[in-house]
Parts: sequence; structure tokens; C-alpha cells
Amino acid sequence: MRAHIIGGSVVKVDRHFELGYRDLAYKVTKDCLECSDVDYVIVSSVLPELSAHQLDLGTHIVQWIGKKVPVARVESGESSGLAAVELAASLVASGAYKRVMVVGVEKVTEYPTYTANYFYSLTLDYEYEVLRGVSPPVYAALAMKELIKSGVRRDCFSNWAIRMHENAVSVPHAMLKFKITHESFKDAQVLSDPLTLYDSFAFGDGAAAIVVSSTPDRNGSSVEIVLSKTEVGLPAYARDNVSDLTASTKLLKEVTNRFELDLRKVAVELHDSYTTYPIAILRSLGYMDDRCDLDEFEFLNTSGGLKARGHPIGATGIYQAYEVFKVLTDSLGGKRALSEYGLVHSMSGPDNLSRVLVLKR
Amino acid sequence: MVIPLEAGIRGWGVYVPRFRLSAHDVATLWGYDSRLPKALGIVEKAVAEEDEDSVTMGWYAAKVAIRRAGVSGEEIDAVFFGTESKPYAVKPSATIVADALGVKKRKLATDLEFACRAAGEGIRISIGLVKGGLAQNTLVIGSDTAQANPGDLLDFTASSGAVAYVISSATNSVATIEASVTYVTDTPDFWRRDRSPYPEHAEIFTGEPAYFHHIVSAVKLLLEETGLKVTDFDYAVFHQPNGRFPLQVARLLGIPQEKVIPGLVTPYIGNTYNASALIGLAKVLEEARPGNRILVATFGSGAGSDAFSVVVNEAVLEAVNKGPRVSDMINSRVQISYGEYSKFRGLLLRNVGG
Amino acid sequence: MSLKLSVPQFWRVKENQYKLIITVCGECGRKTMFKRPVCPHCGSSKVEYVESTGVGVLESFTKVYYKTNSSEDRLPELVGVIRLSEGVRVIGEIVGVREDELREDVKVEAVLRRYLSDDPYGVIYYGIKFKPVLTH
Repeated sequence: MRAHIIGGSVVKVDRHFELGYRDLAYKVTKDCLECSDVDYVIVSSVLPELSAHQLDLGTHIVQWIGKKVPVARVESGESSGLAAVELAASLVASGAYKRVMVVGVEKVTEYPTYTANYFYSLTLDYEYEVLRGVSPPVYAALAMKELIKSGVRRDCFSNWAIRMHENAVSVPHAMLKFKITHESFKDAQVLSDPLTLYDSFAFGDGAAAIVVSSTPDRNGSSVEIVLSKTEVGLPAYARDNVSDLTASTKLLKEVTNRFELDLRKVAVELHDSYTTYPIAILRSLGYMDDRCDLDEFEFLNTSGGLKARGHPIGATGIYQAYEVFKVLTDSLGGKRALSEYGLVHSMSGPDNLSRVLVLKR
Repeated sequence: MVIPLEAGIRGWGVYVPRFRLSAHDVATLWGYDSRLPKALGIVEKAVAEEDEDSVTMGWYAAKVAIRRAGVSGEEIDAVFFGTESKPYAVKPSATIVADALGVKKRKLATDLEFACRAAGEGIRISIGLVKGGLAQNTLVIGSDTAQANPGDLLDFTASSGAVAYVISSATNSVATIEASVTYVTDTPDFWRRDRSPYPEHAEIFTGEPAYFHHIVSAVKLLLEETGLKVTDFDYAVFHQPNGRFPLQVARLLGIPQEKVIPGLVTPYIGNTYNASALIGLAKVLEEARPGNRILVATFGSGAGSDAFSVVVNEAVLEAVNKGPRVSDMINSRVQISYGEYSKFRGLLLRNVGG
Repeated sequence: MSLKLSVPQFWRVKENQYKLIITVCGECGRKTMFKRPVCPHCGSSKVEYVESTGVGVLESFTKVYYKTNSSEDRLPELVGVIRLSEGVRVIGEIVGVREDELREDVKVEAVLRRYLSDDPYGVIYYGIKFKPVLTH
């Protein structure tokens, strides 16, 4: 595909009470050198209608930041970011545009946590799931129970969270930059048993921008978007097991086969909204046995993942794309990937839909 | 002179929530003498959860009644919902239950109010509809999440429960209603003003001039009009606001306690208001032998009483096992605290509507 | 006062809330919960609908402490996966039982309960939850 990520910028994921949607968008684009000269803007955001009572966020952002170029807002639940990147890549690959700025921006702290939880739950099927008392942690918990029943130790999931926090310590834009231990899990608040607060992503505001160009960077610090693919899954209640993340497994298997990628070696960002999911995926791909050894993975969620870097819903996919771009071309958290390829994985809910982005240095 | 009724009970169903608040806890919290529960004849009462109301309980009882009756929604021509704890002051509960159970659209449906005897009146109306050929089958529901001012005497007994009956022609019935009489006057013994969350009552006045007078009058008229004597009855089921009144009214009528006790459920589940006497009847139907005659007297404050003479036939035996039994529901119980009771029934002042 | 919940929406979805409707695919034979126009497994629109008796077995459940409301009435909620006697799975809340009483593999039945109400003056919405069946 003739589309390249040539640069970007991120804002620290945090509780930015002093910044609204437009302020965040302005802040992140101001700090992004490559963003100054673009001919199209795509805004990825999930909650503006609910959080900020704002429709047509894209138009209001371009007016605010002073970019009089075409704009469209993309929303696809938690996988909005990668949907936006895919569309940006298509725009430049088609030749219609030269440089597309993709801005992911989200405010989750405008209301108390219970309201943010409610908004987030609306990514599930309102009529068939939300009304019946099903919230996102419920599926992650039921899936975790299934995996535990099939022999996975509970501390396998805790290990994931511990590793994510370790990684985040040296990532400037991560929200939770502190280590945690197995002890932390003992008294952790239960969300939906056995899932605890420590198994869940960090909820923070955020903004991330990347520029997708039809031409690579002259100095070589860009990555090509080699492939963007999506797979639609089954509603979780319609599966044989809630933990069958078949869409993600299928996509990742296909992509790792096609490009001969070993997830232990390549730069990869997996969608770890809850610790259940990356463990389920790694197991189904054959990367993880009952030892649950994460040490084998050199560049897995270097950012700290959704768990510790944070999950500003609509902006997350852009953060992930930026992070893989950084770890391949520069460094992230003091690490630089030696692999040629990088992978970004995103999910809508409990694998209702899965997206994968393949980047190449 | 008796008008042949040609109607009967085709099916019945009951719902009693599992949660129980002990009368002892009510007495302790509100500073009543610990001997009072015994004097009232109350051990514990059934409490509905936060997501239950008269509609949801009535739905369950009706579902069981319909299953026992072996009819489909297409065959039900009227739905009467007797309650004094309607979720809406205006909007019928009958339609919600009817829709949820797949009852056809061409039907009568209404909510009835007459304190605790509205469901009884529903049965009386049903007899007329069935006999007049305007209905093949009717569904009568009595359901209440009974309210009581916290700390009032009624707090010991006001409970949650529902009962439902499918009324049909005598030939389709498992128990025929061979006679019935209703006796009504304007007697303000117990009432609840519009917008008042809890009822008020005139204490001892609710006894002699209300409960006893109306039940005794209705029963006496029934006996006069049919020529039956109290000794013709194998069971007597009365409206049961507590565990004592039914035994006292039985004494007044010359009916021995043994005939009353099988249908006396209030000591274990409290006073379910509209379901009160009719749950007692359901329990008796589940124990009675074909040929047994049952005296039933409802009572509703305001005030009135329906007296029925019900005769059980062979078909009842098969119907019993088609659904959960009253005795099973009484025995399936778990105790809760007064705090949980307050939470379940929304007695705590909160900011809601968020 | 303004209504927070849509009256037409709730009226429209009543059938799926008051009853358990199963979609049976005429092409691949699979059964999926709730009424839908197309089989989510094979994509065929040759589907039929069957009303479930509402009886099933609780396969697994979780105790939910996750708050989505400031004045949540019932926490923890018990939410589980039920395999209905028709062989199809459904997800729902378990009621009528204390959290420490509930066990997996119990027989459950569908019951009508309040889902939510547009308090204090709006409409009350009812739907199906599950209750362990009384053991005789």
C-alpha cells in the first residue's frame, strides 16, 4: 500500500480537567511538526455526543485549529483509531490526497466514573446486552473464568498487568507510571469477579495525532502501512465460549503467517482493555502455554498497553499506531525494535470486531 | 334461592418472594414488646426485591395459572388485575402482564381497586362473563407489594406476593364455584390517600365493624341463599391480615380451627393483601381431595367481603403438579435484615432519577 | 421533566424483552439468541423464530460490582450465561437468590422483572431475568 506514517505526536493520557475536546486536539497538533501541512483531517472519537454534547466534532475541530481542509469523524467503538488510520491510508493510496492527519481525541473525565462506565458500556448492544445487565467487565470476567477452568492460573492475568505497568514507567505519555505487584491484586477492588480494577484499562483523557502520507519520509524515519485488515466476530453471547476471540485470532494468525512474523520478536501493541483478552489471544495463537511466560516477548506492548498507558477510547488506536511507529523508527520507553515489522491490534468490545495494522520500517 | 353459577377454577398459580423479614426484628428495631409477634400470629413476612413489583409478581403467578389451566393466550378473554400497589396510578398493570404472556388483543383488561378484595371481585366479575357467554376463560390476578408505615403495627405483616386464577366454565374446571355472595358497605377502617406512600388505619375499628362484620355477613348470606351449613365445608379460607383474625372469625362462625389452619399462610409469608385469602385457597386446592367443599371469604377494607363455596373435583389432582406449590414457596426462604428490607422496598430516602 | 428513555424504542423492543425469542437458521441450522433478520454465523436470511420456554441451566456467572449509576439499587448484580433447554445460550441477570447461595449448574427459569425506570415520573421498562427453579 502506498501510505506511510511520517510523524505524529501524543498528549499524556491523564485527567485533563483543564482541556476539552478542541483544546486537546489543538495541543496535540501544535506539537506535531508534520501536522502543519496536511490536506485532509480525520477525527477519531467515540464520546463527544455523550461527554460534551457535541455533534460534528470533526468540523468544530478543524475550525478551532485553523485547518481549512476536508474533515470527517470516524467512530467504531474501541477500534475507532485503526478504522481512522485505515481510511487515511486509503485516501492517500488512492491518490486523492497527499497528507492526512489522523487525530484521536477523547474526554472521559467530564462526568464521574460511574457515568464514564455507563458511556463505555454503550459500546455493547444496548437492547440485547446493556439492558440485560451486561457491561464490558462481565464478558472479560466470564472469559477469564473459562480460561481459569481450562487450566490458566489466575496470576497469569496479573502477570500481564504487572508487565504493562513496568513498561509504562519509562513511557512519558503513559497514565499509570508506577509498578504494581501480585500483592496489589490481593486487595484490589473487584469489578466483576474474578476481574479486578487491576485487570482493567486506565481511564483517562487523551489525544494522539499521526500523519499518513503518500510518500515516505526522506530521512527514513517513517513506516509503511503495509496492510490494514478487519474481521467481524460473533456477539459474545452467541459463541460457544465467551473467550473464543475468533476474529482477533483469525486476523493475527493470517497476518503473522503472511508476513512470517513472530510475535515474540516484532513490535506489537495488543488491545488489552482487560487482562483476559491478550492472554486469550496469545494462547489461541499458540504463543502461551501454562507457564504464561511474558519474558519471551521483546517488544510486546512497549507502551504499557491500554492497561497502563491508558485507553482514551477513540484515541487509543492512534496512540498504538504512533507507539509502534516510534519503537520502529526512534525509540519508546528506551526501547527500539530491531524487527522490520510492527503490528497494531485493536478490538471493538469483546472481539465483536477486530482490526490489525501491519507497519514496515 | 341460588342462581346456578356454571363457572369454576380452571387453573391457579402463586408467587411468593423468597426473602423473609422476621417479626422479631421488626419488634426489636421499633421497640415493641417481644411477645407481640406471637399475639399477632406472625413469624416472618415475604419481601420483594428492588426489581420486583406487583406486575412482575402477578406475571409469575399468572404464568403458572395458565400452565395449570392448559389454555393459550388466544383463549383468554379478560384479564383483571386486583392490587393496591399499582406501579402506576394511571396506566393499567393488566395490559403489561397480558402482553408479556401473549394474551390476545381482543379482550377486556383492567386494574381493580378495593383494598385487599379487588382480586376477589375480579373472580365475581369473571363468573358473570363466563356464565353470560362473553368469555371462555378469564385471568384474575391478585398481587401486592403491601405498604406499611415503617414502625407501624402493619410493618409486622404487610408483605409481597401474588396469586392468579383462570376462571372458566364449570365443565372446564378443576374446582367449581357453586355459589358466591358479595357484601359491601362504606366503612373506612383502612385507607391510603392519593400521594400517601403508606396506608393509615383505625386500629381496633378494623376488627369488629370491618373485618368481622363483613366476613360474617357475607358468609351468613351465602349459607342462607344456598342452604349450606358450616359443617358442609371441609376447609375454610379467610382473608388473613395476621395469624389471629381468621381463627377468631372461624370461631364466630362455628368453624373448627383444623379447617382453617391448612389455608392459613400469613404467619409465614405475611399479609399479601390482594393475594391473601386466595393464596390460602391455592394451598388448600393443592391438598384437598376431590369432592371437598371449601369456604372462601375475602375481605377488603372500605369495606367488603366475597364469600365463595368451592367444590373440588377429580381434575384438580393432575393440575397440582403442573407448577410450583404454595408449600414449596413458603419453605423456600432466606432471611434478610431490616436494613436489606428497607433497601429492597425503597424505604430509604435517596436521590434517584440520575 | 424530560424523558431520558425513549418510549417508542422500548415499545418496539418489547417482544424481545418480555419473551426469549430464538432465531433458528434454515441454512446452517444454528440457533442464536434474540430475534434478528440474518443468521450471524452463516449470513443467511432464511431464518425462523421460536419462543423459548425459558427454562435452562446456569453455566457460569459473575458478581458485578461495576457501577454505571450513582444510585445503583442492586449491587452486586449476578450476571451469567444460561444454556436454555432449546440448546441456545443467553446472557442475563440472576435474581431471587443471595450472591453466596448461587452455584453453577443450577436449573433456572426466565422471570419478568423491572429492567429500569425513567424515574421519578417516566415509564417503567420490564424484561426477562433468570431465577433458580424451586426444588420441590
